[in-house]
Order: sequence, then structure tokens, then C-alpha cells
Amino acid sequence: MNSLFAIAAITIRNTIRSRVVLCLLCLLVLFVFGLPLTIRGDGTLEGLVSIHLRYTLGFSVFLLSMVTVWAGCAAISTEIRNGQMHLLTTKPVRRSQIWLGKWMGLTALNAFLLAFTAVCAYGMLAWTTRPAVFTDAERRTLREDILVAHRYLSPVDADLRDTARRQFDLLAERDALPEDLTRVEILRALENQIRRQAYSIPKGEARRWVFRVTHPPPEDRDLYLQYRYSSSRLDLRPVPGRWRIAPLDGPGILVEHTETPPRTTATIAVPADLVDANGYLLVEFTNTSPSPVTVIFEPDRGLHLLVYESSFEMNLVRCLLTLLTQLAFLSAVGITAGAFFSFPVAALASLYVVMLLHAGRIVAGMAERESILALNEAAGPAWIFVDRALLLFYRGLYRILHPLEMMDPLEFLTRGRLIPWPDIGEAVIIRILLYGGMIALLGAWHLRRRELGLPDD
Amino acid sequence: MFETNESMIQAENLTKVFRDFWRRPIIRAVDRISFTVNRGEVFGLLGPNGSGKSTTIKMILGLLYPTDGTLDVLGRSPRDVKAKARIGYLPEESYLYPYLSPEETLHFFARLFDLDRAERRSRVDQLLDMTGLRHARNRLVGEFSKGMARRVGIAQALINDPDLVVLDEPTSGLDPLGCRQIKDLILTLASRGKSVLLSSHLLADVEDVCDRIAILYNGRIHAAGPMNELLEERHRHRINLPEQLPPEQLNHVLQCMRDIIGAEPDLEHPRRNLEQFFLEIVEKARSQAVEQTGAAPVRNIAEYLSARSAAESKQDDTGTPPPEIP
Repeated sequence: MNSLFAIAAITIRNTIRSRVVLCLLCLLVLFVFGLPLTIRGDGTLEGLVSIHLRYTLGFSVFLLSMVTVWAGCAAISTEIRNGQMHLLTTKPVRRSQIWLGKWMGLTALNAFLLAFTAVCAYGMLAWTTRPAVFTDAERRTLREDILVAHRYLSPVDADLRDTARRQFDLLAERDALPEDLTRVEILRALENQIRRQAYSIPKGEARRWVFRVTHPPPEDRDLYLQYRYSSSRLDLRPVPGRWRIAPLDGPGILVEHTETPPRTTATIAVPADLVDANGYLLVEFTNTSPSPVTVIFEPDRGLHLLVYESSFEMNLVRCLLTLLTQLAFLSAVGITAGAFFSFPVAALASLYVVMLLHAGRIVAGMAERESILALNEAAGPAWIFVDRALLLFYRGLYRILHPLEMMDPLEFLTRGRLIPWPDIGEAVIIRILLYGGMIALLGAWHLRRRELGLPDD
Repeated sequence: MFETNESMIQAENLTKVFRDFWRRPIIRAVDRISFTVNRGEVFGLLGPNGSGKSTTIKMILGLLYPTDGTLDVLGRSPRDVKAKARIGYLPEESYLYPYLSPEETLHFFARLFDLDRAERRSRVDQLLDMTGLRHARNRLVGEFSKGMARRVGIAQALINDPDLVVLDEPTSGLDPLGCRQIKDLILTLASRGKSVLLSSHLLADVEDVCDRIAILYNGRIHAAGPMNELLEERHRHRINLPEQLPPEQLNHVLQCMRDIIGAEPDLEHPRRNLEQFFLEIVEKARSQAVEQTGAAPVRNIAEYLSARSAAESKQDDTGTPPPEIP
């Protein structure tokens, strides 16, 4: 361990001596303090928090990503170029330890810089919202409604699969199954249709959803029903409706919904004592519109019950840990690229990987297509072969990149949404242990077989 | 002297072929060379530029991998970290971190050998004293002259109390005084049972310290053996007479020789060599100087550089604590 820590420490010193890294770090400090002072929000408290946290931290993470890639590539390649690696590898240190020591150093530096950035951003937010600038009521709203960490609960869905299977059997009896789809595809389509129906409420009808609150909030904290709907009308006039929120077997509260326009997120405060002893809460929406219009809640994002889970500060720590996994992954990419290539080539290769990671949606789109080249029937076998090969390439790439696509922790943080520990664990497992581990093995393997001191080194 | 037949380096038909990107052979840098370096021996690798000296050393250190042949270093593969734990290496160039001070540099390398803090401090202090860098311990290595950086390099090569010391051009960049000190150090290390593999262009240096040498040219060994055997001219003789011999006695000796060999013998007065003369002058000047800015003279060898037996070294290798240094 002594040698690992020694290599990690020398990596940190090496990194902070790089002029490029120093410039990027100066830019980082300038940005953390400068951005909140120079950009005006939309006048809301949410907008202010977004500027202070989402934009500031988001840009800081972008800069730190650049620092990480740059320093990661330089960590091994410049030491090979300057000869320090020749001396280091004659000492009783395995080359895999050299890789690991470099990674530890960069990750430790990133952890420190990330924490520094977050503390500065949080300090700037506290200073901007000081009593002299905001009223007590605004500060209370900020503290109790925005700077919190809510667990977002979705309705407990009935067994969609069972219902879909029953409908499938019914269609089969009538011999009305579509011929060009497989059984799995039909079942999936039926499930989606049932789910959409469960969240679509035509004029005069009502729908019920049940929420299960597994972690009750503290007694002084309300729950919040957050909803967002769209209507079958083209305009954005509000559709009137009525919410009934109650325990499964008791009286509850009625809330008229008249002014919230479609595609706007709204919340209703729900007293915590409405949740029954088993943790269930019933939510019912009745479409009271006099005109024939259907209200549609998005199945995944249209309806949530928000339950207070932890303080904002704790959520900030969770957010930083998730961001650190991202930087740790980039460190691994950079160091391994530096083990393979000399400096400028390594940096370009790493940036290519970063670009690929950010092009996940494009790759997903390509992978879903039936043909990449959109060939017509007259295309020859060679073109068909190329098309198939490209399709296989994109599908393979999608399979590799897809697990790395994760929730945006900054969005969760600024929306007051809890970043659950399982999500952080998933980020650690996928980004650090699985992908990072594979990249580490690749880098250490190449470094081990690489000869140093060749005539052209 | 500790010289024994225990071999520290054993190379058999060692070959290194450099290849291009397409794996096509472009140069045979080392071509089937065989040699052995024994414990307590100072072995010199000589040869002009491009003769394969550095390639051979890099293979011994596990930086380059042999294309063919076998190479054992301390009874193990050169890539084995247990072998590396017993090797000290001074590269030809200063491959040190320029932003570290000598003290930080030595602590860094000591940590790579997993030495505990107390041992590290003790060894670093002793080495700084030994290499005359105590007064410059907190200056950055990047600000040093080549000679001073070389001293840091030598110190880092000895931090682990190595059994085998590999020195690539050890006197490069040093002034004659520094050269003499390094040569004395090499002899002291050998006297303490360390084996030294030396590569140098400076033949006088090699001649002063090496027990055996191998001369490489074009990747092959063209001459190898004990220094005395290789340099001795068996058909010529030199007779040394006592100092301050009275002229009449000298004439009598010369007359006897004329009578016996029937020819006029050459009579020459011996000369000091330039190095010896230079050292005397500098030593005199040093005794008159009040202060200095460069490296101080090399002092006594660090105490921890122990005189250990082969058995003790092997015991260390298996993880048991080192013997107490008297």
C-alpha cells in the first residue's frame, strides 16, 4: 500500500503542476464565483437554485472532466516520454500497481476539487439568499420545499402483464391477432396500451391510483402530490378536474383543479396522516370538464407522490458521489489511453470515447433502425452485407454504452429529488467496478507487456 | 572482498531484436551474448555507441524483453518484483522528478520499497550525508547541475541497500573529484559484498574499478575476462626500484642489466596521472575555502549499506527481517 500511496501522491503533484490543468482550474474557480453573479434567473427560487447548483456544478464537472482526461492521458505517457517511468519500473512495483496508483491519485484530486466546487457553490447560494435579500417566507419555502430531498413514488400498478395476457387470449379466441407481430411484441403492445388507458381520463370519468409509502416522513412534513398532464385539445387551456386524496378506507381531502394548464408541473400538499396504517394512499382524479376533452398523465412521469427523505446537504453528498464515479471512469479511460499511446494521440482517443458516451441517444436511434443505409430492394448483396455489418456495429456499441447512461444527479438535486443509495451503488458498480475494472485490466495488461526504453521512446 | 561464485546475473545467448510497427526485424541490438556477474564483483560493460550496452542493461532491469536466450537476475526473471527489490539502478540520464527536492525524491523511492517511516528517515539522512547533498536537501532537483542530479540518482539507487547495483555511465556529468568519489564508492560497495554492473565510455574509470569486463561491438562480445588477464602484457616486464635510490647504486643496477641482457634498458621517471595531480590541487584549495555552493564532498558510506552474506540476502528475499547492522 505504501508504494500505491506514493505513486498516487506523485500523480497529484504532477497533475497540479501541468499548465493546462492549472488554467482549467483557474477557469473553474472563476466560473464557480462568477456565474451566479453574472447570470439572472427567471425570478423564481427554483431558477436561482438551478443557476447556483445545476449550471455551476454542471459546468464545473465539465471542466473537471477535461482536467481528468488531460491529466489521465499525461499520467503515464509523459512519464514514459520523460523517462521517469523507466526508473519507476525498475523498482519493486507491479505495473498494475502503477496504473492503480495513478488512478487513485487522480480520483483523490477529483474528489477534493469536486467537494471544493460544491462547497463554494453552496456558499454562494447561501450568500445570495441571505436575509437582507429574501424575505423570511421565501427563505422558508427555499428551505422546506426546494432545498430538500424527496423520494418520488409512482403509483402501484395493477398486474399489467396478467391483464395483457387475458386480452391476448380474448383476441386469439376471436382470431383477431395481428399476423405480422410475434406473441411477445403483441403482449408488449397490449401492456403499453393498458398502461396508457390507466392514465387517460375522458370527460366525466374518474381514475384511481394507489401509492405505497414505505418510508413515512417526519411528523411535521407534508407529502406532495406532483402531477403533469396533457390534454386531447391542441391548445393549452386548463382542463378542470377534481382530486380526491384519502386513505384506502376513510375520508380524505378534495382539491379542485381548475387553473393548472397542461404541460405544467403542479403540486398539492398532502397531510401525512392521510396515509393509512399500512402505508397506502388513494388518489383519484375526476375529469369535470364540460367539454369532451381527455386528460392524459404520462405513465412514467405524470404522477408522483413526494415524500421527504433527507436533507438537501445529504443529497448534495450523494450527488457528488455519483459525479465522482463519472470522473473516476474518465480517469480510467485517460490513464489507459496514456498507457497505449503517446500524449496527443492518447488525449484524442480519450476525447473520442467521451464524445461517444455523450452520443448515446444517436447510437440508440441507429441501433433501433432496421437498416442503416436505408437500402431499397435493388441493392446488391455487397451493400446488404455492409448495411448488416453497420447495424451490428451500432447494436453492439449501444449494448456497450447503454449501461453507462444513468440519471443526471444534478437534475435530481435541483428538483429536490432524492438520489437513492441503490442508484449510487449502481453507478459505482457499473462505472468503477465493471467498466472501470475492464479498462483498468486493459491498461495494466498493455503496460505490463509494453517495453520501455525502446530506441524510438 | 566478498567475491564468490554465486552468480547475480547470468545471461546465456541473450539476444534482442528490435522490430518496426509491422513486427519486421529492423536491428539486432544484442546478438547471443553470454556472461555472468558474481557476488561482490565489479563487472564492466564496454563498447562504443550502439554496441548494445544500454540494451543489455535494460534487459537486465526488465525494461526490455529478450527476443531469445535466457537471463536470470538474482536467480529470478528480471521482471520479477522480488528481484527488483534487491537491485539499485542509476540511469544514464536524470530521470528524476524535477519538482521534488532530494529529500522528497529519496523518500518517494524509499516508499516504493515499502520501508517504514523510521527506516526511511534514517536512510535518507545517511544518503544525503554520503552524497554531500545535506545542505541542498530542500532545493528542487530541477535546479541542480547535472553533477548534483547525478548524486541524487546515486542516492536513490542505494536507498534499498541493494545486492546488485547497475550503474549506467555513473561518472557522466561529474567533475574529476566527483568521478574519484564515485569510483571509491563503487569499490566500497564491492568490498561490502555488493555486485556492481557498470557501463561506461570512460575507459580509465572502468580500468580503475572493474574486476572483469566484457567489450561489446555490434551486439556481440568480442573480449571478456578479468581485467588483469586482459590487460597484462606477459612478454614485457617492469622492475620497480626503491625510492631515493643513490645514483651510484642505480648505475650499478643498470650496468648489471646491460651485462645480463646485452642491451641498453629504458630508464623512465614515473609520472603521477593527471587525475591524481588534479585531486591534490583541489583538496588543497578546498581546505582554504570558507563556503561552497555546489555539492559537498562524498563522506563515509552510509552505515545501512550492509556487508551481508549471500544467505542473508536470500533470507531477506523471503520476507524475514534484515540482520542488525553493527
